[in-house]
Amino acid sequence: MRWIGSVVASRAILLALLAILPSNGMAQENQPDTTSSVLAGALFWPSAAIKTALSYIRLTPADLALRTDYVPRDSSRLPCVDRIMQNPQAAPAVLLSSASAFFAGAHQRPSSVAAHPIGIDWASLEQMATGTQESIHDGLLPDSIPVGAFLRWHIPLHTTRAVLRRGQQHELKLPTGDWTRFLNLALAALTDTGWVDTVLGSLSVDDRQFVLARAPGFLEEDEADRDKPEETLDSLQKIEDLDAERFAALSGPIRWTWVHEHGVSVVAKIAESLPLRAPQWDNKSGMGGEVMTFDTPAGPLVFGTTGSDHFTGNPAMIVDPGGDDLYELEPLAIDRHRLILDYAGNDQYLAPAGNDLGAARFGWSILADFAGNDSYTAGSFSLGSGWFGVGLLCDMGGRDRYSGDTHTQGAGSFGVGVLFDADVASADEYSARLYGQGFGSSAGLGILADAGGNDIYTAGGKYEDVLRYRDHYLSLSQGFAYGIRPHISGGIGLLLDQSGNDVYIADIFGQGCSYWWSFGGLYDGGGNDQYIAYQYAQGSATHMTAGCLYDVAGDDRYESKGVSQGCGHDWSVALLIDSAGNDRYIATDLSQAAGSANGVGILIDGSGDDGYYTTSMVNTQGYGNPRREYGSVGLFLDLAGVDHYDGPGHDRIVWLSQSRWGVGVDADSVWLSKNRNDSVYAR
Amino acid sequence: MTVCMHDRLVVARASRPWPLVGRIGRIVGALLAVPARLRRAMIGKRARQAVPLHTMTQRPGAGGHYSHPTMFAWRLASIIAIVVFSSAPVHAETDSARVDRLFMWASSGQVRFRDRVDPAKDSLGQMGEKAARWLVHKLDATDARERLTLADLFAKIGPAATPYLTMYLDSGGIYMPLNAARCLGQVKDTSSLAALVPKLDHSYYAVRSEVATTLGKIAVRSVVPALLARLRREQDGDVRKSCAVALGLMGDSSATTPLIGLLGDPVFGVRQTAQISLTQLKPPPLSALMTAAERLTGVARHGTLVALGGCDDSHGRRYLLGLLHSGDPLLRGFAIEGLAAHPTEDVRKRVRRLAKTESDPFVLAEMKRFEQQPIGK
Repeated sequence: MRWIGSVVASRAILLALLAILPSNGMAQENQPDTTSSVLAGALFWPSAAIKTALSYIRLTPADLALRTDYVPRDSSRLPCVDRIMQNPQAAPAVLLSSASAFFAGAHQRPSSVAAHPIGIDWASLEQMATGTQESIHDGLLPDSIPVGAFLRWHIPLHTTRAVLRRGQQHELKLPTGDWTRFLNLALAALTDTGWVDTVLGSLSVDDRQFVLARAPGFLEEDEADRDKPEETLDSLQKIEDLDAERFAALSGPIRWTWVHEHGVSVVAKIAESLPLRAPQWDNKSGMGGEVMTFDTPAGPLVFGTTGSDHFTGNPAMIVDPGGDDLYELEPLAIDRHRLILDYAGNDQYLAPAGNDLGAARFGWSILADFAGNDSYTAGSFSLGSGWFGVGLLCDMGGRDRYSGDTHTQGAGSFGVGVLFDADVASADEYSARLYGQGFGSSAGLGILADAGGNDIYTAGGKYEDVLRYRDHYLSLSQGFAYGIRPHISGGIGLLLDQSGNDVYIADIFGQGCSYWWSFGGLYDGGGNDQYIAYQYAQGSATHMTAGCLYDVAGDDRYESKGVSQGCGHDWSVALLIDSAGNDRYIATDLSQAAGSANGVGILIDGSGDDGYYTTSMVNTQGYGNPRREYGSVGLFLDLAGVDHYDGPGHDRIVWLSQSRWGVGVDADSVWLSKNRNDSVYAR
Repeated sequence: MTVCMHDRLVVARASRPWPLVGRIGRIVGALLAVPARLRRAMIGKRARQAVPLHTMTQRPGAGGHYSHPTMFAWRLASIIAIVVFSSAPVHAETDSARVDRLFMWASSGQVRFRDRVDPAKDSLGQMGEKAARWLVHKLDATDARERLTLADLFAKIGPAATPYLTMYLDSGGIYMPLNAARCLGQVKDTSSLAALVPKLDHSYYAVRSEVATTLGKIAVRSVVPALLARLRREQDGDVRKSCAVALGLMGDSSATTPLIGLLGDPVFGVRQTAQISLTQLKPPPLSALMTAAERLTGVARHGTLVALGGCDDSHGRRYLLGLLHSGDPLLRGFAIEGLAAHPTEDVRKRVRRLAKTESDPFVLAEMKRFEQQPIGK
């Protein structure tokens, strides 16, 4: 019953990831042995070694702090981002905590909110976790009221045996009290509309229309850009700038925090109440033999069958007990909600127009698939996407394939988007084009979490990077976060993979990376993994922002051309941390602990016999260049093993960059014995 | 007074008694301005109120502004006129339109158009004052590439741009005074000092910092007291850093004590720049540094040693050589880093000799870096 444990975990996902500590943990029976050992251990952060290495360039750990006001703060700045900017150690801590929220058992969770290192407003989150849920209409439909009194079913569209005739609706007998209670809750939440009015209520009609119609354009690219003349592109850019400027001015009055507080509460409440088994229909009523559709105030409510059903239209809620089903629903409209529960079967979900499959705009959406080898194919804003909303796609089991275009597979902007594949063993495939696989834009949180299996993540291949290259494509995915420079701060994008031998493929921007006042993180808990990208990847951050790739264990391989593998550019901090395993790091230039333009780049390898290969002898492996009349910081640490270097570094020595603000340490036993007086080595 | 997304039209109409060809050119200019206006109209954005009143007086012929209906009528008339004159050849492009076009090319970041960048910058530089008067309207740029491009362009234009830039130091907001100060740092015209110095007290730290840097680039010692005064009361590390840089560039020995004080600053950028600036003072503050090296501790002391080495003086070298036998490997290492600034053959021999017995990895790393420095650099 692997999936039962996963469901239990899923109930608390959203709250947990916003640093609301969930009370329900994942069932331990399904966890690989490595899970508890890793998550129970301390954060890998060799403080003493870092302090000593920094002293070689006349710095202290406090000097790694960046300020949070290089530009005037906008109303979308997330406290978590500020906290990481001021203390780089918070980056892997946030990743570890987030991974724990998905993968760890309840007994391993921190005991108090205050101890939690995620830098979001703790007090308000705690309040969210404990109350303020009246808007769910909790108690509006107590169990004593028959479900039929609420449901206004009158046109069973697909049935030839309409057992629920007028006058008989009160006889609908759901099998258990759980289902009755759940339907009450779900239907009440599905009617909880008016999000646009609430979130944009203080805006003029004109401004409201602007936000609804034009703001999504910030996250949409056009393939045709590569062929447009410069004049056209310049005009488009100016329009985008003006749009962004206007949007930034509006983002203050916009109540996006309400989306987080209220939306997450609603989704968490529903997720916590999900029945673990499909409804067992009363044979006499005939339910289960045909697809039944009922109109409700919330929209059509559809009950599928154990056969292979084909779902179309615009339902508010689908409950399917099994069978290999095909879902081809209409996109979920703004200010509407959707709940899809599929309990078994190898299902196919198609949403080429996007805005579906656990995706919401000014609303919430949950897609929970409990078992089977499923295929999800969607356009943009899909597969766990929240745009001023909360979207959750949770797949509890099976070998699954996910394909989406833009803002997909755990993507949040002014909201929350989560894709959680909870199967600890199956190999899944994730394919996105842009802004996906753990992506967070302004005031957004996007998370892709995979509990295990040998997974493949690919991102890019569609939208050419017209600014830099004619032969590379934008990815902006795989634990990537993004702000709208210079107007609006970005969000938090996390890709969390607990175990398995995984392959991550991106091109430009990805794999624990961010741009403009954001935090992008990739956490991999174990397995022999491969990370492949071209630029701005694998612990990279550009322009006043933070990025981190944290790989706990396994013999891993990292390959990227440049501005990668622990490279912070322009007042940014970026970290690549690999705490164990025999690893290979391959790069061309400005990588492997490179600070650029007053940025901080850190690469820390804890143990194993590693290989570091770079083309440039000048700006890699502990390099910090001067800009604005002072230095950047490059900190390279390899703390154990027999290592091989092609580049400035060498095994078992200290080296200093000619740039003067970079340092590398490949520790021998003597050095390490002097600098291991912190607890991290004791784990 | 509200101006002037349309000021280019105002100027064109009011100041130039052009013949027919010129009029046609004017109409083309008007049409070129239409897209920007339409774009704003399309998204409901009102014309920006970007240019302060006094800047109007600097524009030839600028005497007022158009209300939106007037502008609309003007453009409508322009469109009709261009249709009427469609058979006539169009020979002229207004300065503003040319600047717009060239600036777009000069600030292009796309790989496809990079071959246009330098020629466009050169053309704008050659336009000189004509370009400056229109480029200053772009000082509200927030895009990093455009801001850097502006600095490059004003460097090419030179002092002819100073009157235009100094006016924008008083503009509201952040980016206009910030960009103006940065561009003045590229122009390096002493006539801008009077406008710059008061901006050391600007309310936004980045403007204060940029102004301090610019004063350093202009490097007139008469502003040293103003910089020192700013430094004494400055709470922001970035501004202290820029003051340290400026004081170093000016080389005035009156900055010795304040700069030594900055060697222990909590912001490492301040420490680094103070250390470098101390080596730029004339005469080198040797005795002050050697005293400080005995008095200070930690990173401040280490920075003092490196600064001492940077002064290129035999007394300083002797002091540092004496530290090579210290029991503290950090002192040994930073003494070597100081000596590496101006290495001599004698010092190199000493260091090589010590390397045979040295075991500390940091000191060895400094020795290795020392070896890579050419003698007599």
